[in-house]
Amino acid sequence: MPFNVRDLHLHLGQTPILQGISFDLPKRGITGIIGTNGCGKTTLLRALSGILPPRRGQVLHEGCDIGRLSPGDRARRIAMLPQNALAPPGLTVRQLVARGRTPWLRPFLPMSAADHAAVDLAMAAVGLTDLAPRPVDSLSGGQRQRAWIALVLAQECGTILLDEPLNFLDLPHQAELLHLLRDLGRSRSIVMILHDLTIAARVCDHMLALRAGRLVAAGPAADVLVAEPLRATFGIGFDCGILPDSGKPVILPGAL
Amino acid sequence: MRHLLLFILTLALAALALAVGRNWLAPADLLQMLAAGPEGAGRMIWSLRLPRLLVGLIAGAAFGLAGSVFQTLLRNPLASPDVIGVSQTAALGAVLALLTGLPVTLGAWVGGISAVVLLGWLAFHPRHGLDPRAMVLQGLALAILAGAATEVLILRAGDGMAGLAMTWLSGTLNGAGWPEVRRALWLLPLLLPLLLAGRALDRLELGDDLARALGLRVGLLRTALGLCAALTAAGAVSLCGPLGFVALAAGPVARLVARGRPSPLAAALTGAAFVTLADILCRAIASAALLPTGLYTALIGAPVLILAVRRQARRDSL
Repeated sequence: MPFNVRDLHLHLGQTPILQGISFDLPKRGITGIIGTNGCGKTTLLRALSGILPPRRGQVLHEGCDIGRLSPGDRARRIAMLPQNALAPPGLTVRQLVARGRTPWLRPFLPMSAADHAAVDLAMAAVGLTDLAPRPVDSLSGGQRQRAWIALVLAQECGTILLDEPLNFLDLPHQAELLHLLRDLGRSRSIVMILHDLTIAARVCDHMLALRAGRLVAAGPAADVLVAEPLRATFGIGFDCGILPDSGKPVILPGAL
Repeated sequence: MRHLLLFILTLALAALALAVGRNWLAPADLLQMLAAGPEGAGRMIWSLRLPRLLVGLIAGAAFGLAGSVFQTLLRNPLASPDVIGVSQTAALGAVLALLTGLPVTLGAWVGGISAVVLLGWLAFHPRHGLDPRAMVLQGLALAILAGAATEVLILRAGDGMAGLAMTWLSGTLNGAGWPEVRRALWLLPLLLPLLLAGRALDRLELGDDLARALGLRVGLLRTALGLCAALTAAGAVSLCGPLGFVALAAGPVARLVARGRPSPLAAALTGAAFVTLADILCRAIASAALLPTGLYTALIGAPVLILAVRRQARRDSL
């Protein structure tokens, strides 16, 4: 079990954001988090990464209370790509991806051969090897997003948290990234925030649906991504169908 | 390699600084006077030019380092101590200490620390944490306020006003001697943590959340490095006043040499070279009546900063 969350309450300033959330996540596979804007998805992801301490309740990662792990240990177990990451001006793709190795570096020693290999592997996985010497700020939005994903991959953690990783990606690159995440999901646990429910139904094994800081549905994707739980999550009706040829699901707002 | 180039440049400027002045020295004469020692023939070099050079080098390195650390901590190229009021408040503290008979360095340190503590407190948001943009804008106001307060104190002080104004409003190396060098040595232990902070800054500049996810204690580090950089800048101010543009320009200029954020060492070397160059001009151009060194750091700093920003903008858009 990578994550056991028990009665999680979290406030930002004086505002309650998460109010009593409990769930367990499987050791492998992809978990999708869905919900309307401002329902607490990002806050939940930050709580899972351990960077926001809960006001009440507990987040266990592989049996350890993540509040008790040192920041370094946490960063070697759980990687997170937030939406508000900033690309420093002038930095090359390779330099940016190499920052994912910082939790593994010994103080004041340069990167080892293994660190360089991890950076190479991460850039190859997202197809950025050719762009390695380019400054990040000269890349297109989609290329930049892939550089961020590579940074997280270079961190080599068993658990990866992603906040809307498909942002800025065109459809071919979305498909490519989802393939990559599915491969990674065979040996790791991936938790990501998504907005496209059809994509969620295609790639996620497990779903968490939030509304106003509370969990309204959790379980296998096939059980959550159906009309009733979706209505409870978003407050609108959805058309949920199955493509006749492939048997794959398609989910769109009913009002469209 | 790039650090070596910067180091050689700084050394070359330092040698030139010893040779330039009211009496220009040929390299052979310079070596002879250095060899002659502080007594006798070498007196001019040993009692005037050498201490002045050393103070300039240390203060320049301190300004450059503090500037680039502040710029990274607040993720804003404007966030250097001479723009956000740390230097001006340190100068105010130094003048207050001078007028009340307290140690000048202590006054400058109290001033510099008060500035960052005040700005940090004003810009802290309970929900979103520190707002760097608010800190820079409020710092601009603080810089003007502290500068005005220093001016009032100097105007009211009466005697010796011109000298005080030169030191504490524009900053100058005029009059720097061995006592200043001894005080400058106190700064060196403060430079060390900043020089070693490269890897923490590497993470910090990626944004608070990602830095935390990469295992950095963001709040602790920002506070510790911010206080250390403030003490460094204030210590430099206590030696030669708030020399303008050095802290602001050292980072961007060093970036022309190294891609990405310049290493703390590169920023320190750039700051040291910058102040030395300004002081060479100061003594070469106006050897009769010495104008404040701060005038020349501004004269060189402004165009160099404009060029550096333009070249960087062009390079980034490649």
